Amino acid sequence: MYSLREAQLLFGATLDQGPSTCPNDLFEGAPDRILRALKVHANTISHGRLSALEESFPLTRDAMGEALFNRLTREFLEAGHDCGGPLDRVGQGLSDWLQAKAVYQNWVALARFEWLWLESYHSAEAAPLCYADVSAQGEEELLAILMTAHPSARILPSEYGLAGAIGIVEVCDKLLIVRPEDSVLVHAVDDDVAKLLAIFKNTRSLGSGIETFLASSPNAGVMQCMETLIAAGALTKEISSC
Amino acid sequence: MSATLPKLAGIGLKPEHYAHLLASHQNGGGAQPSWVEIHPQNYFGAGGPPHRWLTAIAEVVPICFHSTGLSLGSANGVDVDQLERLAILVERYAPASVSDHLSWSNGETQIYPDLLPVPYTREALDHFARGVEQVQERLDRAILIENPSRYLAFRGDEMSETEFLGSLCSRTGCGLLLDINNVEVSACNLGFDPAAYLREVDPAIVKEIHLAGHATERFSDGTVLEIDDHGSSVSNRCWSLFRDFVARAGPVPTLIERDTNVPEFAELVAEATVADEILMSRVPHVLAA
Repeated sequence: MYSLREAQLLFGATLDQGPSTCPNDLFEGAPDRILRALKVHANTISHGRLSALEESFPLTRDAMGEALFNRLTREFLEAGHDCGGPLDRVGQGLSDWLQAKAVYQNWVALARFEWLWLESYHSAEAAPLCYADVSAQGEEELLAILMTAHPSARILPSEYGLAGAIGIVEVCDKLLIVRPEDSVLVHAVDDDVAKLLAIFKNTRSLGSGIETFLASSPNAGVMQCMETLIAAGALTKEISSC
Repeated sequence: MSATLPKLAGIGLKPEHYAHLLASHQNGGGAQPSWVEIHPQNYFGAGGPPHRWLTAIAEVVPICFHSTGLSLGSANGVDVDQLERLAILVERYAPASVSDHLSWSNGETQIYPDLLPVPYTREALDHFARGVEQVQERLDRAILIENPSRYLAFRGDEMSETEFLGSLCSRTGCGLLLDINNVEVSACNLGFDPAAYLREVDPAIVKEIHLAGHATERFSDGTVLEIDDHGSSVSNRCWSLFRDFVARAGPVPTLIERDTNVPEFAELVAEATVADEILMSRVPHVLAA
């Protein structure tokens, strides 16, 4: 009789490598029944992972076409990518893997966007910084306000036709994904806005953020960038607890 | 303080039904489920629309958590990451009950998104009981364990599933989430009598019931394989087994479970109404009055 650990190691090896790995004395019953049962488990596992990828990357799937998406995601899973974690993380490495596979860059960009969109969708709640928070302040108080990037804010390059694929018509350097309230929103922004948001990745005062920004981009319109971030709801004056 | 589940029928909550459920409660019209079950793994994100919906729904109807990720039977032990994420959610929503499965998912190098069977040995029982105690201690409440749908039995089994579950409940104080569809599926696949199985279950440990449909594959050699896909209406056989069990045990909170081919809200609630009629017919007259 096998110990619990031995039984699970053998069962796992059978699921990973196929039924020929399964010893005759692990399961009860006729070999053909055991084989059918193992197929049910193998199908459930495969279906669970593939469905998680389909649900995470609907636009990429549409763009690639179902057949190619299914082939590539099977290949991704068979290569052992991200099978070590729960289903909600299975797609984490897909865009990098697609990039390494040298597939059409537009699909890589779309997959990267969809994963960041999901991260934004599930991110922690935080009240966005709004104009009312800053407009009534004197200069000294204003520069002392502590702020940080909204936990839902994500930036990615607008490249390889990504903006057009998701319905953004403006020509832009970067896309800002943010969920200040119920909905995930996508904004076309320039490099300076992205740079300013990155400065507020960690909580700091407005004055310190502006100083850091101007040190590297002395000619940029810092207040215009700040207005863009506030209007998008991409900053919060509260430090997220999550 | 967590609400308790009414001894009536509930449904599995799906995102496509969020708005229907809230509207039906706000309008006070139409049939409504008495409670809903959610898979906590779908709410492990820190925030976002799923939490906004769930917060609103938890205000109008009792909710319970049916976890699929603790991997209580894994030789390596309970999935601590899942347990911690579950504990945060339990604290946030105070569900009426928390359950997981008599199964394992976490292997040495992979997490298998499936509920894999555990051998029914004394060693496995000791190990599983330790896992249940660990979870109960962390969550500070008794949990429920669901009997699995099985396609395989281990040659080294030392006891029946009902003996395993009975011992587990008496040793740890956990309750049994009796999935009657799983009993039907396992009975077909492993060749036992589902009615006899249910007669072996002590009604006192059954704190919740699941009802569901399953897929059937017929092979040229005449054998039949039933697959627990939660993709169809509750089978006639399952209703019959449920009716018999409730006749013996009395009413128990009962879930209509559907995870694939999810029908319209009204169709699910209609199935719940059928379960309610069976449950209500077994309420002792003195209580019903």
